[in-house]
Amino acid sequence: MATCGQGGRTSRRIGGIVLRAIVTLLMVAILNFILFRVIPGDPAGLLLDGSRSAVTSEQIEAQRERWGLDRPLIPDQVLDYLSATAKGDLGYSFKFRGQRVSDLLLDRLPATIALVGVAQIIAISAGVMLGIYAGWRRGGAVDTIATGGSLALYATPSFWLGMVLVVVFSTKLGWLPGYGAYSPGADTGSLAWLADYLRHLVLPASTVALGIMGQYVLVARAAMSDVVAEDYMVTARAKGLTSGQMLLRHAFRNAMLPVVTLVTLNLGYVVAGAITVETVFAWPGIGSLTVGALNARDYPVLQGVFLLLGTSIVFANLIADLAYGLLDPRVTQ
Amino acid sequence: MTEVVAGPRRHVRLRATKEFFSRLFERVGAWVGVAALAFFLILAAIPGPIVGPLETAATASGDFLTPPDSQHILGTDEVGRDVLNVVVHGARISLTIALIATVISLIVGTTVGITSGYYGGRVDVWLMRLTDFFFIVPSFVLALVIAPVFVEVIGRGREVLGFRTSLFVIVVVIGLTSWAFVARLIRSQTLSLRERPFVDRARVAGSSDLSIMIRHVLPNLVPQIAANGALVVAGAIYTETALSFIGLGDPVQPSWGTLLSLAQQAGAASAGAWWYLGAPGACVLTVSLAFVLLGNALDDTFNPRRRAIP
Amino acid sequence: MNKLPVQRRDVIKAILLATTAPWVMQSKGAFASSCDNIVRLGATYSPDSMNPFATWSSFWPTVFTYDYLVAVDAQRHSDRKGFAKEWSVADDNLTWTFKIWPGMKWSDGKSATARDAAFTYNYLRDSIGKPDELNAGWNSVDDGLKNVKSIIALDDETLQIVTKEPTRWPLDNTILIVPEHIWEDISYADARSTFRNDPPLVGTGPMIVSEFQQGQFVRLTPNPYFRNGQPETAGLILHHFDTADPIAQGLKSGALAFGLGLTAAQWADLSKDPNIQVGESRIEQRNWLAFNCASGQGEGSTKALQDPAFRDAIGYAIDQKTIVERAFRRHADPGVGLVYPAASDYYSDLSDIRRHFDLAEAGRRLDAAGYRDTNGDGVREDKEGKRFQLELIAGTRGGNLQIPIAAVQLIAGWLGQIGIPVSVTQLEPGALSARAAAPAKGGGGWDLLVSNDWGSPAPASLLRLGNRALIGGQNQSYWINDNFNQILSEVQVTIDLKKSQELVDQAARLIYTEAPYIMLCYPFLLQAHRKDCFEGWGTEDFIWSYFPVDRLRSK
Repeated sequence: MATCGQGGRTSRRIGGIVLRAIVTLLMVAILNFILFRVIPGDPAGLLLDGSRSAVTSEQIEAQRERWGLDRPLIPDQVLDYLSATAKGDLGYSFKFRGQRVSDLLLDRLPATIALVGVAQIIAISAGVMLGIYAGWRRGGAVDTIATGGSLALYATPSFWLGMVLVVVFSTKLGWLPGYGAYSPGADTGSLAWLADYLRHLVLPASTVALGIMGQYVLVARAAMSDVVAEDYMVTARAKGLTSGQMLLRHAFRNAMLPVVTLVTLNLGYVVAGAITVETVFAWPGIGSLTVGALNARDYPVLQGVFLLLGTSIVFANLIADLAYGLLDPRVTQ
Repeated sequence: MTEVVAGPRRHVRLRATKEFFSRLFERVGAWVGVAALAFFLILAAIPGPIVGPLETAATASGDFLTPPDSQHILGTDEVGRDVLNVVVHGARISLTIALIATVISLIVGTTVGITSGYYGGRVDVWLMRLTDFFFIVPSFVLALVIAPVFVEVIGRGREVLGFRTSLFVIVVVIGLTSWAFVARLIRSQTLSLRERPFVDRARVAGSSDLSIMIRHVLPNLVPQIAANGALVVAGAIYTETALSFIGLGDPVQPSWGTLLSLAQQAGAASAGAWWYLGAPGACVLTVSLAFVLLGNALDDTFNPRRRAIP
Repeated sequence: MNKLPVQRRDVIKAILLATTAPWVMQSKGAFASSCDNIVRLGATYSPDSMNPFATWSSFWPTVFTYDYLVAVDAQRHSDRKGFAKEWSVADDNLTWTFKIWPGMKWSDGKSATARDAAFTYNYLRDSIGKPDELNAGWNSVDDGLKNVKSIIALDDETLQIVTKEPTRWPLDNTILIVPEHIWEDISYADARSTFRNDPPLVGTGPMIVSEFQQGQFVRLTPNPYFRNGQPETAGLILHHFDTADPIAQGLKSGALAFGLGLTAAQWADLSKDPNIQVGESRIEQRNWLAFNCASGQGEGSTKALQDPAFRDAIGYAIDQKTIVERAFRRHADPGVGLVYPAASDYYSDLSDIRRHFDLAEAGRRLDAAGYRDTNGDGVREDKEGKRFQLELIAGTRGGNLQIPIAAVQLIAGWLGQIGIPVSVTQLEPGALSARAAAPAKGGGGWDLLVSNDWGSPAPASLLRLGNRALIGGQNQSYWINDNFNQILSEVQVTIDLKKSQELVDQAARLIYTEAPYIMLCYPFLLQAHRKDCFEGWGTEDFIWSYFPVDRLRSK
């Protein structure tokens, strides 16, 4: 398929995609810098905000020097900022004194990745299955319910769904824990701890999964509908292949591409949704860190979160763009 | 010359519009969407006659967190306010925020899209880089970072254009962070419209770029703008609800999102007060579903081969 | 290639199995409701650092690990003591002698002596006036410390504090005593900000912080060297949450043994549970309405705010009883004066000068003071003829109990009824401290402020709302009164309880009449504990010290 003439075009295309990703990343970083500078009040004063007694001007001066705020804004502070950011130095939290923002983020990241990862897996597997079935029996009861339900889920704020699940499964029925990532005081690492962690994961992961599942159902359904209508299906039946096998094989292959792109393109929205869902479930991830930072006006942490999310979303898109080229030969031609 | 053409053209347009609507309302989704929206728009327009003035702790009549009964058909909240009352008044705030934010978003998105598509070249490249950024970063995440800074800069307590500052900020922030989707779509449409003969004709006749964009390109984009506008509203409602829920709302003028946040603070979930959580959430769900259905129906009618939602 | 779909199907099957597995396990939580001798507490505030010099928000759990010298509980309860075993003051009322527990040890086995106490106080005291003055956390420089002449360890068991003026500060201060061998090398700059004091801590309290997971929990282990013997429980885990929902839920399921900071709705719900004992306790928090009394820089929208007659009239339009009933569902004492009922030595209901709720009376007083509605539009005008339109800001400082928005709505409603329209803005803690800062530091410009403070039962803390030295800090009304400050400085150098009660009463009456603040209520702290695993929960004063974690035991 790849011929000599196309090599140059493909690499140029890839170069273009990468360049765009870099520009977007740079914009994320610069927006971050600008936002922090437009906040009224001296950043040094903000750093001293927690103190309740009188603050002397010497203290403010000491803080300014400590944080490099006494140097000119352009270009020194911008360059300082960009090079520090590139090195992963996001400064210190206002609220959690003496804690690096990067440490805070790393601390909370695993919980969010677990939540989002498990949710994606549930959403994709359940969504694709349901969608394929709905597309196969187009117009049937399952199809109507699945399509309607998907649209409804798409329109539901996921954190509200989470609150409803808590009331039903935790408060009323008492089946599952509604808050936190594990029961207080378990020994991390033990098998019992893992089981406990998984039990705690059920409700929040289901919430996030339900929030994004609708789209997978619709994508898979559309792919399946196309397959059913294709000419070769008729041929296949004539050859004596069972319809179920054929359908699945082709439907999966057809649904692959849109699902893969949806996974990566959705990442940003999934993480954004996880922020509110984590608040509902007191899930100790990036989301609850963000909300805490918002209430304390902990700008360095907010910006760290923004940078982290921005970067991961840009990368996800980059991968989606590149993968699209690999999976769909039409793009490269 | 123009006057001669104007009569028939208007006639054609009227007929096309009629046809469009008759095709639109063949779809169940459109009916459901429009009916639900009409219902909530009435609530938002005249909450007073329906449930009386917004109750506050001072005027609250009920007991604390009582389940629905004949007197309070949606129960009461933690200070004894009638949940039906606050939810109906919340409709006004939520819908106003969402609709105005959508208008801002459509204006920005259309302007960027048309400019980018019409001029092409370097303008296009830079505007699209900007759009990429806003397209890729979810508006909720962007709003989350920008909103507190906006509040700090503008100050609080004052009213800006008749809004309390915190609501105004939410309107502007949602508007400014959700336009990229529209801009991309409009740009691609403009790219093809630009090549159409009537644009060339207008250019030869000496029309300025601006007037071509406004008088010739824009009218052809109305269907897209309408269909996507409905989806943008759904997104705006979601963003507003989420922002208010995590504490950026105004508890004095409660939107549905703020009500959910108040309910959470009062411990409604663990005390089992499902009516307090359920009512505002169900409203958000219904309204945004209505907009999604309507947007889909509009889009299907206009362009049956492409679906707005995959 | 053709086999791929089959493999994929297997993979998906496996994934589905894995994701449904948790549903299958419907056994009770692996750890919940089993009495494993570890006490699990839940609270809504969140420690940010284990360094008491750098933060205000780690009171719990550091108070379980470090001792005060004496402070509140040791003066109230004979069975609770701090770093000092006994104390006495010389006849000059200036020289205090503290006997430290003989043979006491830090949790790392090193001896804990009077030298550590002297070190802690001098560490703070020597920072006074330096650029990195230690004023950023629980252990902070305060007025009392500035009044100290010398703090020395006479020997390992004797600490001597000599003050310049007579004062009860040596007993009342709430500085946590830290070990010299840990802190001697920490610079002031680090101590007030970046030094995190990572666990395991070294303290003399019954429970030692051994693990700190930001935003999740703090684990404490029993101090084997605790002076009354190692506590019987196997340890303590303090969980912190952003909202109270998880606490209520945790108590119900048995995952938590004790919860603090519940909402009224949850409290009512939990009180129906036979396994749970709910309780409420008086604390040193007061919720108030402050007027912006500043003139010039930072002043409010009308000069009327600076007029005691205006403020007094407003006092008749605030119905504390309704606030307590509607906004707090009776979980508060109605507000009277500066002194909260929790400071029982000083509390007075001021019955002879107390204002009563009467909107008509408020109107009459406003008329008499010259704030009439001359043009009959239902809104009063001030003396410059400007219509009243007051900006009320409301918010709660981090760590304090929230003021329900309902309380603010009630106030706004009453003021509206007497012709003074109010617009309300709710602020989060960060924004609140910026707007309520001293006018000289860019604060002010608001008219009314509904907020709260959480103090101690000591007179300096009771009276701090009117202290001119604390404007923009704890004096949130910017009110200045020389007589008041005169009394305040007298109280601070008074040791005799009776004398200081009289002085506090005088000051309380003065500020009540001048009305820079209208007290709304003194909220209760709502808590609950499970009855099944542990006994020894006390009923009173478990907020000031390590009590009762030193005496809980398994049932």
